[in-house]
Amino acid sequence: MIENLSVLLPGLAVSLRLLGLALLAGLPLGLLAGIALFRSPRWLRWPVAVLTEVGRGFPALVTVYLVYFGFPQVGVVLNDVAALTVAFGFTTASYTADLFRSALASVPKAQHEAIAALALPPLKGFALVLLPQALRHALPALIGFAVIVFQGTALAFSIGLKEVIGIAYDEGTLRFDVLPLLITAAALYLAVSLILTALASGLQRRLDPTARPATRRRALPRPAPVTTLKESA
Amino acid sequence: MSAELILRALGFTLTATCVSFVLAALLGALVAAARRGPWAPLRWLAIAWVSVLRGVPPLVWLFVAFFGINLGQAKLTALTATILTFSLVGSAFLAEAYRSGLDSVSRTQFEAVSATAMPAWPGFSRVILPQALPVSLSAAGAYLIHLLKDTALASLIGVQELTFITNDAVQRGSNGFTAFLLLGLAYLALSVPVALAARTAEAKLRKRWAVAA
Repeated sequence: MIENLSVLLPGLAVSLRLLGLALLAGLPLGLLAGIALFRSPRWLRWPVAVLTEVGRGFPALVTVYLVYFGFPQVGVVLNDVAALTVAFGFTTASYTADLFRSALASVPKAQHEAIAALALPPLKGFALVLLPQALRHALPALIGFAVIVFQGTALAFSIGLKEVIGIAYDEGTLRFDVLPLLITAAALYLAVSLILTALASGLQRRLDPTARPATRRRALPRPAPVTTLKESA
Repeated sequence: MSAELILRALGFTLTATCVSFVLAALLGALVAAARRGPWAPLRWLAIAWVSVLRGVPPLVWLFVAFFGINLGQAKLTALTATILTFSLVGSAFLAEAYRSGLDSVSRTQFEAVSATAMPAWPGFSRVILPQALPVSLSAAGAYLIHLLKDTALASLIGVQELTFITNDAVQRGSNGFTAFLLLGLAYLALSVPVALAARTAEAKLRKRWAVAA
């Protein structure tokens, strides 16, 4: 197990780098798209809405193929890491646009009224009042989504980039025994996913002090059987 | 690409999606029941089941099922491995869908069932379930669309579904840009009826069991 782990760790570095690149490309774009979806003139909102639908409706694998094998047909040739950054970044932006939009929509109406009442310039009011509250609201969901992006980096296998599963597969084929390496790979993914998920729920608790911890709903004790008069007599 | 080839591929995509979804829905119900059941070890097992299956990329599970499982000399076929993988992974997601539905039912409803000493099953099926179902249904509908897109991964272990035949055509010289764009649009087109059906079913359920406010 330890030896398998040391074989796979360089792959984990590649996966994490892809995750970082996808978030770096996707989150700012997603924020811009989210703002466009939240409030923008129709000529801008429509194309953004269509693009985000495409980004969410295409299987991520198809988006990767489209960028890596399809873009060269229209004159855009990207190497594997660049193509994955574009593909994952586009998917990330499409999904997070909706997270950002709903976070902006969740800011209470009173805050909008406060901006108007203080006669803050709209842009200032947006940047100083609405956006910080929206970002706070969106953060746990964004980390939750980062887990999904991290898992999505396994798709790099499909175009031959050697990340965790690519290495596990190649090395396993050489040894004529893939299962131990695949299980180690699964354990690695699980560990990172669990850490990120714990981070998200920890943040959620800290950022939202009003939220009570999920109430345990245990089965209530069944009421004592109704004893009829005759029985007790 | 001949029409016959495309139809066959569409068949593989739909088979993998639908069969996995039905199996996942059944298995997920068991997991959700265990998760809420009275027996602690079973509850822990259900929690572990959900987080382990969801914490690892489906592609890894697909490889484990296809390359890793050797039952004696018999290997799973690619389609069987796909269905096995997505049934198990899906059971974790759908167990969460059921759970979100049950969690949306107010606690007082459970107490009301106990307080009126309703027998367990009618109490569940006539009081709790009608309120939980619309919420679970919309989560399950969202997962079905997710699953449809995830079956594209089966192309990597050689199931000749839509993504496989498109990629094959592109590697033989078809225009990759148009081919993959059309393929993506095909998945979008397939998911639209699912989304509509889920929304209609949810609306119908809500109407049928609407409680006068």
